[in-house]
Formats: sequence, C-alpha cells, structure tokens
Amino acid sequence: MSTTPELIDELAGGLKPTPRNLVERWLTLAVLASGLVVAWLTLGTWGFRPDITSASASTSFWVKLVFPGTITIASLLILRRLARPASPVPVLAPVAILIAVTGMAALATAELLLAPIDSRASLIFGATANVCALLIAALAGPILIGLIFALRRAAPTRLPLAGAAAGLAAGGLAATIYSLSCDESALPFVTIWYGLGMTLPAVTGALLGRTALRW
Amino acid sequence: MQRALTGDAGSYRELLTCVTDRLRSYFSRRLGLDSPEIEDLVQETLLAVHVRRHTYEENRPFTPWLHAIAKYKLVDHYRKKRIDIPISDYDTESIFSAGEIEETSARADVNRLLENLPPQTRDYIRSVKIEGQPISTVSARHHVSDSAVKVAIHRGIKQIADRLKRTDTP
Repeated sequence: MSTTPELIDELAGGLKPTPRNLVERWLTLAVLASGLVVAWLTLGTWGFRPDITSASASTSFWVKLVFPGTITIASLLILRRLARPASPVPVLAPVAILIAVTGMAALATAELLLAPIDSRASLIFGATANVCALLIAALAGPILIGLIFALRRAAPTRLPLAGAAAGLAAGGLAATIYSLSCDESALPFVTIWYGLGMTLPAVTGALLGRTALRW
Repeated sequence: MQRALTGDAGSYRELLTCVTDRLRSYFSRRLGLDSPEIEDLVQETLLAVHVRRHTYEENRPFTPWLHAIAKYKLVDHYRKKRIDIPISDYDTESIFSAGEIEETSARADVNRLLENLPPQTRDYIRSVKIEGQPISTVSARHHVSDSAVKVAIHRGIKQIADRLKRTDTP
C-alpha cells in the first residue's frame, strides 16, 4: 500500500475538469433507457387503450396520468439529492407526493360515495384488479435496476432511503406508462391498485438498497 | 474544492492534504489513537473523495459532504469487522485502563492530554488509572478522603473527553 503523500500525488496529478451534473446525467440516462424499454414492452404487448382518442378527452384519463406522473417526478427530485452525501432532501417533493396521494384518495372517495351502491364494487375492483398492481410492480423492475446502476456511479450515504426513492420513481414511471394501455377509469380502482403497484417497488428498493447501492 | 473540480491540480493537492489531516483525526478519535487501521481508512476515504468528487454540489458546504463520506466508510469498516457501532464516542473509563498503555508514544499522548489538568488531579489520574495504585494509597498520600480522589479523577477524565469532543470535526 503506497504512502498517503504518494496517493495524494497520484490523485492530484492528471486531474481533469469534472463535468457538471454527472449525477443528473446518469439518472436521466437510466430513466430514458429503462423507460423506453418498459414503454416498448407495455405498448408492444397491449398497445394503447382502444378508446384512447375518446378517453383522452376525459378528466379521469388525465388524473390517471398525473397521479403517478407527479410521484415519478417528485421521487426523482428526491433521488438526485439522496445520490449525494449530505445533500438535503428538498421539502416540496415529499409534500407533492403527499398531496398527490391524499388528493387521489379524496377524489376516489367522492366518486365512490356519489355512485349507486351496486356499482361500488366494480369501481373498486374493476376487471383487472388481480393483475394490475403486479403488472405495474413487474414493469417497475427494469426501471429500478437502471436507477440502481445510475446510483452506483454516485455516492448515496442513506442507502435504504435512496433505494425507496428509486423504487417509488420506478413504480411511478411504470404506472404512468401503464396508464396508457390500461382501460380502467374508476378513481377508487386507480388509487388502490396503482398505489399498490407503486408501493411494492418502493419497499423492494428500500430492502435492496442496503446491499445493491454500496460503493 | 470548486477550483479542483475545474481541474486546478494545485488547489486539489492542497485540499487533499488538508482533508487527510482532518480524516486522520476523525478516525483516530473513533478507532483509538494508534490503531494501524487509521491510515488504511484515511487512504480509502481519500480515494472515495477523489472518485466521487462529482457528487459534491458547488454551492453547498464542503465539510458535511466530507464528513458524510468519512462516516459512511467508517460504518462500512465496522460492518466488515462485525463490530457493533459504539453508541457513545467516549467511554470515559476505558481511556486510561492500565493494561492498554504500554508504548512510549502512547505515554506521550497521555501526558499531552493530562497537561491541562490541575497538578493534583493529574497526579491522581496517573497514580490510580495508569500506575494502578489503590485509591486509599493515593488519598493517604495527599491527606484527602477516598471519595475526593474519585470525584477529582472522574471530573478530570470528563474534562479531557469534552475537550476532545469539542475539537472534533463536525
């Protein structure tokens, strides 16, 4: 093992300027690459929802998009800070997530209460309850892996938290892409099953983070 | 560090030298003054600072960034050796247990730590904690009670520990 002064000389010699925002660049690359893979998988297998042109006029379509979309963006903003030692997590991002979740829950409850009692079960379970959450969680897999690769080039010091943020971002992006194929429109359905589909990768990320994110 | 990131090797060398000193004191506080592992950890952390220097954000304070990396490497070190991470930084009783102080360099460090204490307290601590004399002998020699010696020793050790804590890098 060389002596410390020798090490310093070695490190300082041949010093090249560091490109700015390397952390963000890697994260963006990971999101784009894995997002394209997932979009190709989803839309390639199921295509856009058959009623896409009419559905895009309805508010519930946009709510289905904005709910996971907000969570994705907020999680990524948190992640870029968690990727750096001692950088404080921005306050607004977790607040945005909270607002998205409570807002969704409130809208879903309203829809449920305003509907006739017989239709409530179908508002909650729809036609695809048993697969929806699992599909979203599975689609989040490649995105989480991509984010982990990006994070290993950074220096996260709060590993389980970083893993959870990566998982939430992965779940959010997967859910956002999935919403383009999925033809369920009931807000209670979306809140519960999309919510579950995003939470599972977050928990997985937190558990994996401890070992997978070490540098 | 900002200049180093633009490629200024001279500033970088200065920075790394300064960082090395702070790392050495950080790790020696936590691993014991003459542990051989200190230099390894210093080098490992220096390497980490270098390889991950792109994670430093230009407008943020440098010290917390450095400290977070040092702490991360330290925790990793404990994990590899399967030691339980100590909760308190200073176990005041073990600083001066007689069996551990054998080398002259350690003695020099001890003398340095003791020199700021009042001479009587210094003598108590040397006699009881370092030379292992029974408290009753020391108290008889100084014509004070046993408990007076005990209290003075405890206060003296606490003073040293507090001073070490205060000069620690945040």
